Amino acid sequence: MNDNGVQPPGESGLYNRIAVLRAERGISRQTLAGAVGVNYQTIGFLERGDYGPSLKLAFQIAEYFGLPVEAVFSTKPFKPLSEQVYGSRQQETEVRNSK
Amino acid sequence: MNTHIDLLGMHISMASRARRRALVVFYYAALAAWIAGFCSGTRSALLLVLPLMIALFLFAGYAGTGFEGGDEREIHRRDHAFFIAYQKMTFILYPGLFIISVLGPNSLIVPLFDLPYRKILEVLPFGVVFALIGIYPTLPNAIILWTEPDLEEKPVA
Repeated sequence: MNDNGVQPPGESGLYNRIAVLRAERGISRQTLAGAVGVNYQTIGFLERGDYGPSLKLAFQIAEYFGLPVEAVFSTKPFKPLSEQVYGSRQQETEVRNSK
Repeated sequence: MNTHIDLLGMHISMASRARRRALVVFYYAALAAWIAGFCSGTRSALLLVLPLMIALFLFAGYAGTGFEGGDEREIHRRDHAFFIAYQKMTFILYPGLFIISVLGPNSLIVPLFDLPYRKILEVLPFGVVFALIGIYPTLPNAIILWTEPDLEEKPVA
């Protein structure tokens, strides 16, 4: 963790939400690995940011979670999901109230 | 990469990098000892052939199956290891071949050396050849075993 509490992206330079998405859906590394056709070790390397996936694998993972690829991988640190979800709701409320 | 070796009914975990590095060191130490034994006398070489065979059996048995049919990360790691290994081997191979060519049996240089050194120089080309034979096919796998970080044991389903 750095000063901002954000996990550094590892050797790949890519941030990802695979571990969070897996945890919230109760999916094991083996299950995800089997679904996208890689070794379960590779999922660990991806989660730690030690390996940058090919475009094909990145899309396969995003499709597995039913999300756009930019919701799973990013070159910039992700905001916490709670902040992103509730933050956008708060913004919508503020816009609605201002009208 | 496999996280274990199944040897004579024993399940030996190779998930930690330290253990994989120990295997690499064991193999190359056994190879070096055998070559040194060969250069110093046939009896030593005969005695040292057993540890070399055990080391080779373990190394080939574990690393040889390393990334067969691996996924994209494993294929990338393997390709990179082969590139690094054979790029580095050039620096070993060329001086090795030079030594063999200069100090070979037909060399004019060997008779010029004093007798104590002469015996070593006579067997040195064979030592270099055996070193190259021992290193050349194993170096890419040794690089993978040496550099791959600690792995997670596959949870029992």
